[in-house]
Amino acid sequence: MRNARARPYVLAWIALLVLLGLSAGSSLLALGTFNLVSNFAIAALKAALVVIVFMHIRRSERTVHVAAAAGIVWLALLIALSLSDFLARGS
Amino acid sequence: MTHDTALAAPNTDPFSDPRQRRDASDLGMWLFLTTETLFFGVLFAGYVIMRARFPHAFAAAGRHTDFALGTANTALLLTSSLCMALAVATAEVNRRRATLIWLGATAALGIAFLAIKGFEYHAEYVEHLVPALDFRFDARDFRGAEIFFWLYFVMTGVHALHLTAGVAVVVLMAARLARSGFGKQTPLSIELAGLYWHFVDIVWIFVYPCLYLIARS
Repeated sequence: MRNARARPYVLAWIALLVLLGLSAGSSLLALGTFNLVSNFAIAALKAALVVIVFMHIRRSERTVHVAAAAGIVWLALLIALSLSDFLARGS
Repeated sequence: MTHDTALAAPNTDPFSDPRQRRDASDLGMWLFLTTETLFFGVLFAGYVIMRARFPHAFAAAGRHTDFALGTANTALLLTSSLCMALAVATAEVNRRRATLIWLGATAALGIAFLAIKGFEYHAEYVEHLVPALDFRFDARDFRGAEIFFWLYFVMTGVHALHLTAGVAVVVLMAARLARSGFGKQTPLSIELAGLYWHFVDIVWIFVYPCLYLIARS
């Protein structure tokens, strides 16, 4: 029988929905800055699950890992440098 | 002899084996997604700076987005990614019926997401929250709130366009598979469509806390 392995995908999906529940639930509590931190930490965790389990990045060639890392690094630079300019003006 | 046949039917296929073809296509799709990361990245960078500039107005404006519908839509999109992953997995082992069902479910969930988004847009239009279309907001936070809603409509709008393209690709794949069955390249095409679909899902994973989870407590 030609079988496809569904188990890891279903487990990742359950984890994603639990994380969604956590971020939606925690945002209803007054946690100050921790609301912001937890919201984006959870988003990063969800994205990592999608990239690793659904997009099977570990099956890909090393060049793909470089391409994906480059996207993240350039995005981080874009945000960090723009923000540092903004914050340095002190307005 | 081999020389003659090569002249008669020149081999235009640049790949020496299927594995090489798969790796090259995989890299091509990931490079495209990297450029897409920066395309959306500009919007996220703008969001971060404007939120730092107008923290109070962003909190006030953020309370006007629909928390319940935004959360439900996130769940829909995460589920659509599961369906897409299962379509890719069943296509790999040439299970036509299962692949068609999962592709259909993926497209249906994508369309449901867009329908809910349209409903939200309508509600925001009625509440005068669309910039440039008689936008109304508390005078103290007007400027910042207007910027928040510009970002809201551009981010969700561009995301919705990407999702629409994704739905079109998935429907096309399903139609081709239903009509002519599995070709040599079909599983690879579905895998690449899957990478794009999951990427659009990831964009939403970050849009959701930016626009729906501000100042809910």
